[in-house]
Amino acid sequence: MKRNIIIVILLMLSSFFGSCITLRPKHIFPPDNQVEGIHLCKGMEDSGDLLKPVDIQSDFTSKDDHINCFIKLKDVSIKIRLRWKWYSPDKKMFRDTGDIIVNQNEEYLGVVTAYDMLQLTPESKNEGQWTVVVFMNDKFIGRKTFQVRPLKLS
Amino acid sequence: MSKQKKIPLILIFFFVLSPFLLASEKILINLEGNYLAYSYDYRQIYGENVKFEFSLYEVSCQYIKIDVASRTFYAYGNIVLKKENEIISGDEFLFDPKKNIGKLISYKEGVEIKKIGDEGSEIALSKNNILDELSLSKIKKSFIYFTGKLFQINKNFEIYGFNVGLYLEGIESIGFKKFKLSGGFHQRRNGISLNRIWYTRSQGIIGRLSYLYEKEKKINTITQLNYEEHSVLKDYSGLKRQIDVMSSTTINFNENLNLGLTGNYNSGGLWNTRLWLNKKWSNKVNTQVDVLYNKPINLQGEAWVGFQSNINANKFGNISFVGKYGIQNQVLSNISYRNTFLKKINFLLSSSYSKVKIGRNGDYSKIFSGGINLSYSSRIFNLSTDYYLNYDLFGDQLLSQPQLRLGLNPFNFFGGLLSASIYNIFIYNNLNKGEIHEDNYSNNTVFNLSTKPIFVQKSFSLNFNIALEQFVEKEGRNFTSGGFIVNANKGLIKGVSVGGLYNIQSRRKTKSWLIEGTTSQNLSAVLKVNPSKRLNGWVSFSFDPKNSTWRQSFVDVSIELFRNWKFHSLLNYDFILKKINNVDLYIIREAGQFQLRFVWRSLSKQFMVELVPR
Repeated sequence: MKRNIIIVILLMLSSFFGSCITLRPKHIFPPDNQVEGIHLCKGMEDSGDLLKPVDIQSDFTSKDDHINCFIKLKDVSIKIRLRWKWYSPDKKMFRDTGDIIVNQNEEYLGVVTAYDMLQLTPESKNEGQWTVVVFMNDKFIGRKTFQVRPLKLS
Repeated sequence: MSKQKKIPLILIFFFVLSPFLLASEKILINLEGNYLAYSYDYRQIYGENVKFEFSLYEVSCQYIKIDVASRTFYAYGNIVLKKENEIISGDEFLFDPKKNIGKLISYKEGVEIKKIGDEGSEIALSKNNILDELSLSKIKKSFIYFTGKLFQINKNFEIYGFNVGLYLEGIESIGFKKFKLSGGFHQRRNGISLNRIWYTRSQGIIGRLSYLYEKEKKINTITQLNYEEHSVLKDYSGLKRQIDVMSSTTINFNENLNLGLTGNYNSGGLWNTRLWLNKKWSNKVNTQVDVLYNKPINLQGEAWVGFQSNINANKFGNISFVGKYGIQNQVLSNISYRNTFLKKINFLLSSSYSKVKIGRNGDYSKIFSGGINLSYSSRIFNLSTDYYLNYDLFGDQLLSQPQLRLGLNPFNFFGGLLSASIYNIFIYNNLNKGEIHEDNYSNNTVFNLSTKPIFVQKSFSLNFNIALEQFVEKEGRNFTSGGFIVNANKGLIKGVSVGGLYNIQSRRKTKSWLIEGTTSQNLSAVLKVNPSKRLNGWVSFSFDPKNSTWRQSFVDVSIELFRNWKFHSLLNYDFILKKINNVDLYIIREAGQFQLRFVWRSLSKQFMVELVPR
């Protein structure tokens, strides 16, 4: 009896797996997304060759006079153009860096770090949700949103 | 043909039939890309240079991220939507293929948002934190992930991959021409489905079949059939086979009127059925009537007719009534009234009566019970009084029990350094049974005083706790108990700290001239080591100062190894028996929706491999 059950189960399994398993899967070449991370931060540590974001956050107050948008890229071997666009809470462009050339000499760089800084002017109304988008070679690669809150008076 | 020969034929029959029973789901979205990766651990998809169809548009994008669990779809970079002569482009595209709504965002002089798909729908789509964390490197760290160029998601959110490669702990292994990558959300479809055919050495052949019919907001019915064939097992002492049928149907005539029928049958000889009608008269009044028939094994069946109603009269309180009448003159009833006065005074009055047949001699148990509860709570104290009455008419026994609870809420003084609380419970019992009259009372008072951590130095703190309890009762089994706990913590270096705890507990029993009691003491120390995220551990020792003996020691170490692999060990040493009581060793792989654990337990001398769903 048990032999019959085993035969039936083996038949089921062989008919199922025989039609779908390939022992040599087609190799797919790994993709080329070079963006390792985009962060908003208050400060930047510049020790050595690479930059490091300090105080990563998405909530700021109108007392913060500047906000940094930091980007980390990997495996850069050609000249690239980076561009930051900052949008105020009314969804209008507040700042555009234009294209910034990186790796002009077209060397291989394992890691590339860069950032742009938004200066908040105290006289303008800054409170609300801001947006910063980053483009590489005219291609959208990432967006971050952040809040600027009014300073609490204690 | 013998019965045993029939069984494999039945299995083949079900196997051939199963594809028809398990009807295929419609495709929700087809993803074609240069590179697609699916993490089984996290149920997430990442893709590059991807094309798919959405709302009659052919969409192409540079990157795509999908979190299947939260049903979030996000495409970005060079988004192009094509339909006949229409071409639209943008930078980001958030969409929901099931609801056919999408939001195309472009960053130009301003942020431009265009609605795609169902024009009438509100677009509540937004990019969430899960998508920020979703990256190819995260998927590649999964215990199981697949890569391919064509993925298919059906309306049940099951994912199929075509010509996919399987990666196990980052190592490329076998490939599949077509493979179901995930289990979906198990949403049920109308019709019959074969849920399971299985064989185990303890239960024999098991078959599970279910039937579902659902018409939105009108009718909902589900029937399940479980079949167990035990005759194929050697030495099985129970029934040769067993059938269980469970069925439940609900018909909604309108929003306020529902009819339901449930039924259960077991071939062992028991069944029951219930028909109910629920009517909602308004938001404040609800009524239900039901008829129930229950047939237990080897006993006579019994039928009950029930009525229950709930009236919520806002400031006038809430009244509920439950009444049931069973054949052979059985009755169950309950009525209660609840209200809150002046926002802080809660009042509850309840009463119930039951008359239930006991045994086969025609005797009935008749019990009447009632209770009143009145409570008041304020910022400083809380007061509650209860009166409970239980009258057993059959046994001619009456129990009445008034209670009074008074507590002072924890209050701080010395600038919040000290916190104290006190509460008292008084209970009086009165029992009348025929000629016998008994009464007794008890009173319990508890006082607690504790301190917040007092920092003697920057890295050295102390805190204390004192508790006192006095119990008094009529029989004179009175006792007084007290406890004192001191806790000290000292940080040695970064990530290393030592803590000590000393407690003494004493309990004195007083009866007339006799005073007896016990005192226990315990001293324990713990060394905590947590120098980095990767290493976490502690060692503890306990010592009995009264008898000057070491008692036990525990060691707990957790080390992160690589790629979400973790080593964890727990050791227990007994100083009195002078031996290691137990060692547990774990190697754990955290893998999103499941955890893989290799476990060694010295106590049971067992090695186990566990796959634990999260």
